[in-house]
Parts: sequence; structure tokens; C-alpha cells
Amino acid sequence: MSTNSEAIFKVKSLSKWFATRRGIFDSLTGKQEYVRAVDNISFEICKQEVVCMVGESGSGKTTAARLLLRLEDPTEGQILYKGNDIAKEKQSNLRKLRRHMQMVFQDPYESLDPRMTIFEIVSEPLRVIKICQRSEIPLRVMKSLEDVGLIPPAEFSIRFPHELSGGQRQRVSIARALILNPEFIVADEPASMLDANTRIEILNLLTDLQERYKMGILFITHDLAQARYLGHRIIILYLGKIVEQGDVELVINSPHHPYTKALISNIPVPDPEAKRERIEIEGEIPTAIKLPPGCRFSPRCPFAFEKCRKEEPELMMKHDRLSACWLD
Amino acid sequence: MPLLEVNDLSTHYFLKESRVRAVDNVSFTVERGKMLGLAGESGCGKTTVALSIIRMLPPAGKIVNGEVILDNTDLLKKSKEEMRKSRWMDVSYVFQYAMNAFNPVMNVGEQITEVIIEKRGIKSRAIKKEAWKQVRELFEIVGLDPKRVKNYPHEFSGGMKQRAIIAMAMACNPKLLIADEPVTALDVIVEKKILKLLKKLQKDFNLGVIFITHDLSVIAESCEEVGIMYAGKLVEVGDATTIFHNGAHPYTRLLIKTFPSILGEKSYIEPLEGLPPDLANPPSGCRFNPRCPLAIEECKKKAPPFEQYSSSRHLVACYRAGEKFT
Repeated sequence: MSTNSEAIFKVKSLSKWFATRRGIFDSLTGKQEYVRAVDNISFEICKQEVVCMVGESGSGKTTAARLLLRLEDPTEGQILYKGNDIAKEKQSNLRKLRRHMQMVFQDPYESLDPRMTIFEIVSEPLRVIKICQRSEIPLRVMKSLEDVGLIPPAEFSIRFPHELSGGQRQRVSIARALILNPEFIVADEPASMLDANTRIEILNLLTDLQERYKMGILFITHDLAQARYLGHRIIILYLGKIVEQGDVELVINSPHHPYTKALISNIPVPDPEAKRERIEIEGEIPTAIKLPPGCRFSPRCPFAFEKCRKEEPELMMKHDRLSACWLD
Repeated sequence: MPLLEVNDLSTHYFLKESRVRAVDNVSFTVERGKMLGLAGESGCGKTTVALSIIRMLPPAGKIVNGEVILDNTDLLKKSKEEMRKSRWMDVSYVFQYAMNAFNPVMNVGEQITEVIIEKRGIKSRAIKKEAWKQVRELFEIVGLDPKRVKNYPHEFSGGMKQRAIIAMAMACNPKLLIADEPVTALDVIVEKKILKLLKKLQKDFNLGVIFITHDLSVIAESCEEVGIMYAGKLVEVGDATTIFHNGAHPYTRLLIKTFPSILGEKSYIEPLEGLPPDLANPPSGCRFNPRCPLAIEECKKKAPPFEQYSSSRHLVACYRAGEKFT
């Protein structure tokens, strides 16, 4: 558990709406629709804390992560990083701030430039953000490669990405993020495309580095089992809104929100004998364009009643966690 | 008599300078109305086994040895033309990333009627009409709205496309269905629904199913029998409960442990050391011996035989099967 409760990120009423493409008729009538990818969410991330953001595809988890690093401009809301509002910061200042926050991307096959050597890839952030002498660069690269378990580093540094396995490439990605000694890392499904064994290696590596360098991590995943393995706190997203948030063990062992319950009861477990309660929900996650009135989960919710279809529940503290449901 | 019997199957890829032993002496059976899960890390040869069964290997792949007996006939002895007829009629295949397999400029129903008309061999108006009727029935079977047969693939969600692909695979009443990673790209809730659909088809049509995946949790959820592959070899086969609770091969036991669960106590997971071997130059003896914590001298010398272990349906290839890790 995180012992340091000082928040490094404070996100307040953050929204990102993407305008949909309009036809001629729509532009004449001035009608414009929006995809509400992230819709008014607020949360905090503390120092040295691992927060997992979980949701199905289309729930807005990647958009939320990208907003946090301002890789995407928010439509509304504040992102306070140690008092600075990242949402309004100028590009030149952002670059200075970004040395403290780095990202590891999902696809290790596409996030590394195939024409650069590992040395060039890992040293690039240092060449962009000059935090050390030029002569120091090789030493730092070797240390970073060693940290992520690419040993001997000298041998790996002269290779190209295509010479490495998926797991090794993801380690390069992590080394590149680490080289600036960031305080905070966003990891967007870093282990989802890997085999079970490599996945565990990467998750163990992230835990190890997080503890050693006292970093905060925002871990984006659709896999609750991975979230439980890595995280301290969990945020469940549905259609751009936070539906439940709290301690990982609490939420997974006794979920409050019907959507969280459904997710947990449908996740496969590696034991054919396991007996579990099953909650079935209808259909698939819709697009976030025409949202239903009231609670956006109500059309699929097996427990929905009148009020759910009229009024949207707020995310509220309920006993030991935050949840947005009229039921509890 | 099992529905499918694969005996001593070896498939190698002949590359310019090397010969990759992707599948080596693999034997297993699939019963009618049963689902066999084939699991292993990427590159272990599970897809090659499946492609060998329907004989749709890429040009470099050659079946060098073995028999694939489906309902008393050896598929490997069939001529190309006979095999072409067998596909979809006897054995059909749900490909990996099947969701992207639809032609975007043709409606979904039409693509399924194509299969039905082609396999009938006659093109007439009556056959066409019948085919459309059949497509509507198939849509009903896989849980799609029959009114949407004329929809285009982009109008379907990921889960619906997957259902439509399964409808296509069922179009000619096959005896055996091979599903290669059918749920890998889907979200958990949709994944569960597709698994349920496959289970229903398996039961209703007394279908034999080979379910290929790298995700053991999905197998635990749906398969009666499990086969674990490592580096081109089948190392253990048995019923699901035996494999998950009394797995005997060290690789099986270690692989199962690498899956974090949402149940039980949370604990640190120790990953397996090392990487799978290069199949152009596999290690001598048991292929798992360089990574195996139980390996002894014998393991390096001679490959262990694939033998009965705890029961006649539980087979293991290991000299130290079931022994405790120290």
C-alpha cells in the first residue's frame, strides 16, 4: 500500500470530447455531435502509487492517460501536477514538465523506430531534454538497460529492434521511459500483447522499478487479473465515466457497482473447478455519441430501476470506496 | 472410435538455410461433442498443428510424417480436390483475427451464402434462395438478428462479426471445428458470450472442437480436454481438471502458475527462466530440458516417450513427471 499520501496528480472534472465528422446537411443546420471519450472525471494519483485504470475497449482509458501527459488537449477540466495546471501549460513549459512523466506504449512492435539502434532509441530523450552532459549519455544508457534486465547492455545497445523478442522490446520501451528518472510513468497495456511468461516478467520488472525508484504508475489495462497483480488502487471506467474507484483488493473481492460485478464475474480464471457467481449483461459497450439518459450503464444493467433511467448518479464515497450507482 | 485421430504428426518448415521443426511427432484425439484446448506460448506450433489438419499450410510448410484420421478417413491421403471438398463440409476453421476476414464491400449474408452455394456445386435460383434461408437460420443459431443478414461488416461490432464468422464456419454442418484464438481480441464480457456460444454449438451439434489459445484461463473456462505444447512437441494431454490440478509435466505446472488470478490470495509469481528454443536447432533430448528445474542427465540425451501417466486419458512426455520442485 502507498504510505505516502501526497498527491502528485490531481485531476478535476476532466473531459475530452471528439467532434464527429459532419455531412453537408449537418453542417448547414449547424448540428454537431461529439464522442464523449472522457466525460467529467476526477481522480488523484499519489506519490509512489500504482493506480490501475480498467475498462473495456471504448471506455476512454487510453484517452484519459494521454490527457494526463497532455498528448491530447482536454476539452475541459484541470490536471494539476504539483500545482501546475498541465491542461493550460504552454508547449515550451510542458517539455520541461514531461521529463518527470513518461509513457510506455502498448505495442512494442510499433513504438520503437526500426531504423534506430537500441542505444539511439534509449538515449533520444536525453538528447531532446538536456539534463546531463553529452559525455554522460552512454553511461546513463547502459545503466538504464541494465535496470530493465537487458544484460550485457553493451551488446544490446548496438542491436536493432527487429533483433529482439517482444518482451525485450518492451524492456527497451521501459528503459527509454526510465532514462530521465521520471517521477511518474503511464503504462498503456504494456504486457497485453505478450505471452503469459513474458507478461509476468514485465509486470515484475515494473513493480521492482517502481519500488526502487519510488515512481508513481498509472497502469492502463483491460485485464483485472493484471490490475490486481500490480496495482494499489483501481479505477473502473465505463463510457468515459468513473463508475467505481478504490483499493484493488476491496474492489475485486467485493465490487459495488453492477458493471464492476459483471466484469469480475465474466473474467476467466485458470481453474476449471472454480465456482463463481455469474452476472450476465446484455449487449456490448455502445459508442459514446448518443448517451442514454440517466446512468449510462442503465440500458445494460440487470438491476436498473426507474431512477437510473432518469438521473445520472454521481461518484460518491460509499463506506470504503467511491462508486456511482443509485443502488448502494 | 474418436472423431479425429492425429498420429505422429510432424510438420516442418523448409527455409533457405534451415529446417524448422515446428511440429514434431504430435499425437492426440478429439471425441465427438468434446472440446480440446491446445495451449502453449507463441511459436510452440499450435497453429501449425491446426493448419496441418486442414492442409492449409504456407508454401514452406510440409507435413513430413503422420496421419490425420477424421471419421475413418486419412485427410493426408486425400487428393487436393477431395481435400477442398472436405474443408467446410467435414472440418471448418475459425481463423485468428477472423473479425477482419470479411470483405468490406459485400454484405455479411452474401459472404455466407457464397460458402453454401460453392459447396453445393450447383448455382441455381432455387439453391440461392435456399442458401439465404439457411443464412437466416444460422444467424438465429449464433445469436444474431436474422433481419441483419444484409448488413455490411462495418455495421457489426467486434463480437457480432465473430458470431457471423462462426455462423459461416457452421454453414455446412461440419463434424470438426477448429477455432484459432477466437476470443483473443475481445473484451471480457463479449469473450464470455462467444465462449458460451461455442459451448452451445458443441453440445447441440455434437461437434468436436479444437480450441487454440495461449490463454490458459480461457481453456479452464471452456474445455473438457487440454493439450499443452512446448517447442513443437505435445508435452501433456488430459482432462481439464487433471491438467490444472494434477498436471505432471514441469512445463505444464510452471505455465499454469504464470497466470495471475482474481481469486485466492495475491502472491508473487516467479516467471520461468529463459526463452523457448530455436526450432531450427532444437536442444537434444527433451526440448524443455534447458529451462527445466527438474532436468537430469537422461533428459539431455534422449527425448522422453509420450506415455500414459495417471489414467489412460492422461499422457505425459517426461522422465520426471509429477516430481516435486525443490
